[in-house]
Amino acid sequence: MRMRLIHRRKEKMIMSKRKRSIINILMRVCIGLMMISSAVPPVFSQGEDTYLLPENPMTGADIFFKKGCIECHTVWGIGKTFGPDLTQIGMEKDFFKLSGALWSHSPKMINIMEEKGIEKPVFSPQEIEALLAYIYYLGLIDELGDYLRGEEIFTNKGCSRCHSLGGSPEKAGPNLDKYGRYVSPVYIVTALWNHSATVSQAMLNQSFTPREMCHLLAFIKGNAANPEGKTVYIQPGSPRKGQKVFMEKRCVSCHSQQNLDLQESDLQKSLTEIVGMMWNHSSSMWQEMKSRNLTIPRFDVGEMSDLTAYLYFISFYGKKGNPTRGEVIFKEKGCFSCHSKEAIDAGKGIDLKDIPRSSFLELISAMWNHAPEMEKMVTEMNLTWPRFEKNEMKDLISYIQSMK
Amino acid sequence: MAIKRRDFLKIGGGLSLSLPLYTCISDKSYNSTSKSNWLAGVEQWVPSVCQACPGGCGIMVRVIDDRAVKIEGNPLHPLNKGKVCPKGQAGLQLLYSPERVRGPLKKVGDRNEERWETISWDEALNTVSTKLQQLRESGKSHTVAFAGKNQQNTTDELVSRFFEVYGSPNFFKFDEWAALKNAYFVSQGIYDLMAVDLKNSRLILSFGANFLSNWPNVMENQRIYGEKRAEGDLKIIQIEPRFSIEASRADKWIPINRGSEGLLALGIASVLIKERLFNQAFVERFTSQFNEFRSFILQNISLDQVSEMTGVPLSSIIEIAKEFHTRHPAVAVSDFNLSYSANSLFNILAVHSLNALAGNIDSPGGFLRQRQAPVTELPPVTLDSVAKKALSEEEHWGTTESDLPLRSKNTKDMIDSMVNKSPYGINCLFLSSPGYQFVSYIQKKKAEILGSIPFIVSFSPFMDETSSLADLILPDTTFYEKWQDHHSSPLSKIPIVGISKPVIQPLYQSRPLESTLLTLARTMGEDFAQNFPWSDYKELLLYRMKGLFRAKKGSIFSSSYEEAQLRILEERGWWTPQHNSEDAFIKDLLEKGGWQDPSYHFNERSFVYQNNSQRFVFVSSFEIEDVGSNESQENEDYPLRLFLFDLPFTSSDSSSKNMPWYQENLGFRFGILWKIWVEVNPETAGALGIRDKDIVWVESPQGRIKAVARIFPGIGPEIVGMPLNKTEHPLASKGETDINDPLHLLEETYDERTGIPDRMSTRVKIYKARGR
Repeated sequence: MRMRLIHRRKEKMIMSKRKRSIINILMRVCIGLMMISSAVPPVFSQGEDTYLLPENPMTGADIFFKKGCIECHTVWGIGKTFGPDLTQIGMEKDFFKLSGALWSHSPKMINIMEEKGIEKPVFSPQEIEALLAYIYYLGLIDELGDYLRGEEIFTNKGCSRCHSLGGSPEKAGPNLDKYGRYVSPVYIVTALWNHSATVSQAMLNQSFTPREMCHLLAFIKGNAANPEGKTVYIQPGSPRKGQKVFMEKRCVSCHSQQNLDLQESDLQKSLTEIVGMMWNHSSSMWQEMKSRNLTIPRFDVGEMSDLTAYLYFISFYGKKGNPTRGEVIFKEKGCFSCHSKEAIDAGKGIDLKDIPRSSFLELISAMWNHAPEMEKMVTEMNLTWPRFEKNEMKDLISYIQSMK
Repeated sequence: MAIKRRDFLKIGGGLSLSLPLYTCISDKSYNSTSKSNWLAGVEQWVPSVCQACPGGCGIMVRVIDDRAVKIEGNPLHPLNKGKVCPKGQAGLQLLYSPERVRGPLKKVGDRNEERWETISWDEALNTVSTKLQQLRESGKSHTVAFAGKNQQNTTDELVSRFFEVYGSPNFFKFDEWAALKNAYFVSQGIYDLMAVDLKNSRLILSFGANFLSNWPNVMENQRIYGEKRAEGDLKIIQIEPRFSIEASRADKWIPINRGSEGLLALGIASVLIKERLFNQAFVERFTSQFNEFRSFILQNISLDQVSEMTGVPLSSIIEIAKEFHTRHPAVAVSDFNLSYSANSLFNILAVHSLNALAGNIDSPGGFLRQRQAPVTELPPVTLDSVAKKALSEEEHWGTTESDLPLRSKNTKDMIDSMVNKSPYGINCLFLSSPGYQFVSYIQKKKAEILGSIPFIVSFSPFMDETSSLADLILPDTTFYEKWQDHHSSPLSKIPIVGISKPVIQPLYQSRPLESTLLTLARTMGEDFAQNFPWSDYKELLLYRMKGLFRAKKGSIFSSSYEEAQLRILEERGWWTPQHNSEDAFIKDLLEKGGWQDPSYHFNERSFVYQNNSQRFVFVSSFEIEDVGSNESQENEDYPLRLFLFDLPFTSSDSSSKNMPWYQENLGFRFGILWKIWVEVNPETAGALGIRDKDIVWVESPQGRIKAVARIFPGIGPEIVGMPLNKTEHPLASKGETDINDPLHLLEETYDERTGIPDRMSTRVKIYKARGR
């Protein structure tokens, strides 16, 4: 009897051990699956640092206003015009080019700020990142479309043959009135994408230039039945969430995970340009997916918005810096004049090897924050202020990091 | 004993020496107790909304302890951006006016006399509640009426809801802009006002519009005017008989025979059409009946005739037309000033047709339609059988359904229908700040009103013309003492909701109208009360404001830069949230003073044109007599025409009479602080032997009033001008304003189509009175 009890206990223990191990395995699988589905890989690594894309680039707007950048610069025509319009600059440069430009123009900026009695702002590494992400993001926002040109496109491309609008009689294609309340092209593109199976060949054969898409939307919005004038807005897309969408929807099946092919596609374009490109390539994309037996992913509007933000931000950090080229820049640009051994001994600059290991954000922030002292030193030594073009800033930072 | 001069000096010298000595040795001069009592008060700046005029500017009120001591502009409010007008500054006099009714009053004795007895709120509310219940139980709830001003806010919603649940269709709101709404209804199918995109306009062709002195968004217009003029990018042509404030700020002032503004507009249209200077693309896409309009113009409008009838030289008409075409975008604007004529609808429609010809409707720099602020709709009401039956009764306007909306809900129709008991008698009338026009008309009809309406309740915070009619006064507070929301006038391009917070606790025994109604609702039975589930009016107000958070658009008042960024984002379809929760949103809303949505979406056909064709309709079916000016017949006894004009910020209310600083200000420009004046052309004055500042009688067939003559070259020789809304005594109740109001001179003529009173056709004579 006692033996039986002991045996039963053992059995129970074994069972509970098995149960625990099964639960354990299941939990690990679940966590693994969750990690696969939610983890967003870093898009950029420099030295030992890895970087994620920004969660919300609009947070930089707050810094832009509160740190007084608006007192000299304009964005979308807002602000003062002592400095250049950053809307255009944001469309042409990535993070490192923007930080290079920030550095290159800092003596001029310092002089203007002194003249105007504006206190020079100090940026933390996180603030520098948010600010530059915001400036970069400005390019994603489209110019407004022209109603009359939209009308021309609507007629010439034959949209009016299939689609009713503004209470006109129903036609073969969907009624476009429901899109009257949306300003952003994301809604209509999402609908088109999700209904790809039912989109007519005639529609698939149509291609639009980005501006055409903007004009067309202006016309649709203008003529749709929307008597209360309601407007529905969308939140600006999140590049980081977009990256997650990109993985979850298995876009990686065709586009490599490192996005090299997409980086090369130069997707730093306006929202309408990106969605226009997606539409223009949709037919071939769907055929390719069919041939690979893949299901065409469906997106909700938020996902599509995030996805386009991700595509726009793919090239935000660009490729890794090259320390060898950085060393050459270090010498060529005269950094050596203050940071060589002789100059350090003479008290002109600090030994960059002595500074604690720093991320590139910390280095860029430190450079900006110490620019006034550096500028003073450069003037005293009758040197030329170093200017960094293209990827020079990235390579230089890479070299400084490699000193450790 | 006689005091010699030497003695006097000795005594005086001694006293003057001893006084400082006394103060030095006196205990009182070092009284530590009195020093410790002298404590600085607790200071706070409370954001609120000024409602001294319909503008609703944001204000910051400085309050020391519990006393409001200074009013400044709220720098975050998008309408006035930190500025405040003289009327707003004088608002403290409204708050602390000695004319305030200090608690509920009951009329005793003869209804025609003003003898009052102070009663408690309980007694007052019980009296009203009993009356309302008696009428309801006897199936007469529809014979209860409420007359107030048009506010378009939560107070309006509450009053409307109260009367719907009670079972009365008679909630009268007076709107001096009704004639313009009629015109937009005819041409665009919308019964609403249109905003002028002043910021993007390059030419304002104003047909007597007081857009810089009397529109609800006047502070916004003045700011934009200043900015645009500094840039040299705005031209103004002011067309009106009198040299007004707008005329003095314009590049050109074109004097015109009054009432002929519409004819001049058609003359300009004729030039635009004949010379093909109109926007053909717009006319083709967005208008209808253009061919009929063109034919009408070509067949009926002769420029020579227009010139003769309007008094505007032919060359000026052609010049204006060409400038209207070349300075694109240009807008042709009119306002309530054109309403008060016997051909008001024609005048306004003719002016508005110029905007359609220029293609400046729903486009930058043109006429726009504001979207409404997305506040939460109140839950649907539950009506009992009594209310349902009563609501099926005809509305008490003296107009039939087919007359509306062309026929405005005007003061005359309403009062006449009540006095004539048509379609039925009114048994109980509630009055709440119904406006100057109403007040002036009820004075004429006081005896008939008292004879036909057995019970009248006034909510006026002041002893005024409405309270003199009342049997019971339940004094409302001023806007400084209560919660309210203020929605920007549709004359502004964007929706703005200002939150008016109580700056101080209600003074005396006054009580907000909104609280009074909620209390009354609870006395009307459980079924009635369940339609009003809010514990107080603040809760109801904030319930509505939560819709602004849920709408996911606009923002709480912010800096100009942030506002501009949001506008650009929204115009492109984007919006960024600023608050994580409704509570955080409401907290910020109350701190900053309000909400706005700065973006505008142009070219939305179905929103701007709501008629069948979804196009602007050119009207050409006028009778030819409409087209002519409405000048009254020559009259030898009364050779001059009377031109009544509004003083700044006074067009729609009578509250300014309780602001002596402001009243004094109104006359300052004319050198007359506390008298009504009459403006006379030097030529006319010379012929009549009248000198500047002579006291004269101005007499019409309706009566005569005394005024100070001012010789003024800015008015034609056949016209005399008089201001409205000017009081003659710092304390309104002690003045002679009642008998000296120029409105008493008006003949009772009306626009046949709209029912709006005609302020343009009265003829007068003037002659010297005794004394100066």
